[in-house]
Amino acid sequence: MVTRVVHNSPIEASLLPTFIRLAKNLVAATFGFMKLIPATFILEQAEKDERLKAGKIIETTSGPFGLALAIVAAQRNYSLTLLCPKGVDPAILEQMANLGAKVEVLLDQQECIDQIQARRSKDRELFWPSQYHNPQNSGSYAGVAEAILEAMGNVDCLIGAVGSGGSLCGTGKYLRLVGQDLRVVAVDAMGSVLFGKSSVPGRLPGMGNGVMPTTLEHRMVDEVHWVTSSEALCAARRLHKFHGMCMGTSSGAAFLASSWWASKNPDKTAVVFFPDHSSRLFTSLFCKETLQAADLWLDELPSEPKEISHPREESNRWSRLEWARRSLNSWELAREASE
Amino acid sequence: MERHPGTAPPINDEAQIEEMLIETVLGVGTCEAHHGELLQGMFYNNNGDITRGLVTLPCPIFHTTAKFLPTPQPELHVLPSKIAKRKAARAAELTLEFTQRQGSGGLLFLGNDSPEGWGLGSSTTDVVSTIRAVADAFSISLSSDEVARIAVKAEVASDSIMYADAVLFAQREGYVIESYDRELPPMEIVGFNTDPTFAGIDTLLHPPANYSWDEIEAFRPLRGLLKRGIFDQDPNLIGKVATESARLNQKFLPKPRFADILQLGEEIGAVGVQVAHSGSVVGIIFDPVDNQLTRKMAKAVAALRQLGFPACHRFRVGAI
Repeated sequence: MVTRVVHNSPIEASLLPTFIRLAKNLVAATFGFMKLIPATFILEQAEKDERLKAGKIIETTSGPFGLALAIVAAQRNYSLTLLCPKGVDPAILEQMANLGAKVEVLLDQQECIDQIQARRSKDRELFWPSQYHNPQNSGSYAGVAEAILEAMGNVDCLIGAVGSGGSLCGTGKYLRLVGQDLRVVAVDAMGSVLFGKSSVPGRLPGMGNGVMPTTLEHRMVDEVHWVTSSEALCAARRLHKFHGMCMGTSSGAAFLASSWWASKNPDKTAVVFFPDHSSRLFTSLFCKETLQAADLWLDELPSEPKEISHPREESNRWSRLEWARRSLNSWELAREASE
Repeated sequence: MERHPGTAPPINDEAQIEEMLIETVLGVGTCEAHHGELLQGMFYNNNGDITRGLVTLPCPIFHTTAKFLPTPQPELHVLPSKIAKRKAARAAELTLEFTQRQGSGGLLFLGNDSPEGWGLGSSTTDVVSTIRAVADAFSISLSSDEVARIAVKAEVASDSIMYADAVLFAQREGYVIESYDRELPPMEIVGFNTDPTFAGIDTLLHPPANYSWDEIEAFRPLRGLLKRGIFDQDPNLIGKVATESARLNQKFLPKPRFADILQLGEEIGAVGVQVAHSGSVVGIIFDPVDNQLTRKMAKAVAALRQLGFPACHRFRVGAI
């Protein structure tokens, strides 16, 4: 018999999603703060393997993962240094500092990585979680797959926004242990390099990436949607309007793609990740004037994605590509670019 | 009155006779056989610690019956033999100890109706029927948890055959990691022995499977689907769990022709394949409400013969 329990910490309470039905065949897996899952798992595994004996951690981050590490590190009394590239939301930097992390703002991602390598060569006991390259990032999502299967039994499709690829590929991999047919739909930001588009600066945080993480397993992905920042913001407002859920922009983008997918596949059941509440965002979803000034306001969303047949096909709006579990190389992006 | 050595004192009191009769009640305990596991691996317990665990698949067509006759002498006699049934003998001693009768002895008879060479001889089945017989001899009723604790003490690792409801059981510590409060869903199984020469794993000598972190995590989705499958009484979900558990454990105790067996299950339209993780039997699982059931099971038996497994047994678990 299962009884309700009292959790020992907000971290423990946040490690499993809550499931909310959005449509007959669409269920949202909502998280208080999803990045606590890999942050907790990676540190616990390092403790088990005695890689954290010195209690010193260093990571480069542009936001949520660093914040999650700072929360876990503070609870376990670890010394945490976070190297952030310029442009990270000041509200997030303040929260990291409040949790006792030593925050340093450097020029860009590359300088952060160079610095980590330099410091670790001097101090071998410095632990680097390395969320973009650590298989324990995606490996941490077994409990999420367990929860989905326990709550729903069969699932046909998993949809989620991608940054490191950890949550989508990790959960997808564990779900496919008992269902090879599971369709994995990745939602990327327009201007992100993850699925072969050229990098464009100025993306909203929380979705997409300017660098390529090895934790993203392209060959797991069946379908990719690219969503613009203004579309993601508008979709997040729509999620709030129709379901009363105030989630972040990556949730908004995933909501847009998943609602479309579920309506096109009425006989299939889909789960969509809503990784984060919007409360940590510096700019509110609802600040119309600020968003208009930044050219990020939309009143209406397109009802269908634009179908494209290659990652490099030009599009400035919500687009969809049948990725078909291909590798990134198979799209011959280098040749495309030079042509 | 002359007393001869070795003879009991004369009885001249009716109450004494009554007491002796009670003391010499024959205890009987039975336990159904099992057919390996539906799931075995490592799991998080309620404290967040990782522990070894399993879900046993009962095989209710075969049983062990134990009979125990207490005697005033401290010796324990076991039939067919104390050496062959040393774990059962240990279980009898531990049960006497548990019921505050340490130092007592008796006669323990063990009978098993499963055919020789089918790989169904289970030490836990002997152990559990013995514990039940000893307790019965003294009219003591033991809970499943108590039986489980004595069984694990008697044989280092035990399966969870003593529980009526489906449980995820810590086989080396002897406690229930998670109870599902209902039986397994109805399932039809075509079982066979992959190795008639298999003598069983000595849990004392055989090192337990050493799982890596990602293998340990992989058991979590299986546990989630198992729980849903039991809750919904859906054999299809349990079949998927069993197949993947068998696959994840194949490297620790390989089953011959395993890939062929999996393929056979898929082609025939079975819901899954289960294995004995420390034995040699394998079962192909079917949904009893499948209207093609008889045809599919017949096809399975024929295909297994082709693969070199001529002897099959058919059994059913769960109430319809």
